[in-house]
Amino acid sequence: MASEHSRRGKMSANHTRAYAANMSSLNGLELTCEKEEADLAARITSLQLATDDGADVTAGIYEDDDETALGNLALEKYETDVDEQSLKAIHNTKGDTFLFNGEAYVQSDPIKVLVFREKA
Amino acid sequence: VDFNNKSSMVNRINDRFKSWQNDYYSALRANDLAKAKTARNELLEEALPYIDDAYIDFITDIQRGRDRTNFVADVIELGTSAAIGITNGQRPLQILGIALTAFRGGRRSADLNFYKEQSTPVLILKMDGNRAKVRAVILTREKTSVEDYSMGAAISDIVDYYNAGTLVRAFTELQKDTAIQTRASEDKVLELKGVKITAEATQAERDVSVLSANILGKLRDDLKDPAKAPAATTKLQNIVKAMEADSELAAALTAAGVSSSDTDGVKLRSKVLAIKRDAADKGKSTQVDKINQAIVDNGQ
Repeated sequence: MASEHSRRGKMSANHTRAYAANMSSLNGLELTCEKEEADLAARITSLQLATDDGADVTAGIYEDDDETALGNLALEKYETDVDEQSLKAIHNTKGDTFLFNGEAYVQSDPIKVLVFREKA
Repeated sequence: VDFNNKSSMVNRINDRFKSWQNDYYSALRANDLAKAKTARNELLEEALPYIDDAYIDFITDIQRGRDRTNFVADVIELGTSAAIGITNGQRPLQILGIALTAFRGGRRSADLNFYKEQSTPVLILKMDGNRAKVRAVILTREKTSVEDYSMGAAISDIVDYYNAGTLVRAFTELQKDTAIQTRASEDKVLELKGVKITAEATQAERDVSVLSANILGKLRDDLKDPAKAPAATTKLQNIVKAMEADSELAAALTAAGVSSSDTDGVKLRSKVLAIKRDAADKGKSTQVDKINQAIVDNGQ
């Protein structure tokens, strides 16, 4: 599903993708999102809990980006503010870029995730 | 305080406060604002324990499990008559008397049903919370001068504190909470329709896609370099040629108005990318895999 919108004066497209709630692992979701970015030539902008025709899914939103090499993603599960800050500090030390806080289903359980772009 | 005799309770409160109110108005007439503030605060601090006592009696009754239907008669709130009194600037003493005796004549059946659905601890917790909020406001306002926080406003706060410990206010706040939670829940979950589920990718599938994307990225850069553009165009022609061998992809290429005989490298690349994106958007994973393989086999 793609939709057109104007961003910074340039037309770009958003793609909304749905992933089954029974995703086997967070690593599985990470691989799926990386494949999606490569196939769509688009960068991920959000992961959120959603329903698709009434069924629980994880929705991933991607925005076209055919100008840059995107590189690898790193998804981390967190529960508390302390977890969040610790993980951000660890990835910051590695030179990774924090992208956004999101939510996803893994093995049918909703979890909170941090999404980073790994340093190239 | 005899909560079961509300007229008696109000009279006793009013008697008790009469002297403080007289002091307050005398101080105002003498332009002694500090003394007026003290009188106002003393009245507040004397009033609140009366209401606390009444509240404790009230929740004790609830916890003892009195017949719920009887509680309908106990429901007190700042009724219309009291609100009118405050609006018209009546003397605080009268306002307090009106407000505390402003019974509602009857309750709507919807409210009664709502009440019956709630458990007693939930109602008490809600009333406790409501009262704590009003108490915090009063404590803050006690620090302000009588010019900013008059005796009338203080009396209104006493009434508000009383009402915060009533079932009516508990109903109202619980209904508000429910509405907010419902809205938050609705905001939280994105509702999609007809979006095809993308299967979980394996490491190998992910690697082919990423390699394919990297090749397309390099071809994009090569096309900008006059020295490398011809070779890049040839690679793109070969990619398209490989796609033409598949009937579905051939149809997509035709619809896009491109073929392997095209010599515009930028156009070839953009059309290949567009077809791949479209296939991915439509959940046609087999097509996407074939395009990726064509790119990997012919674009390096």
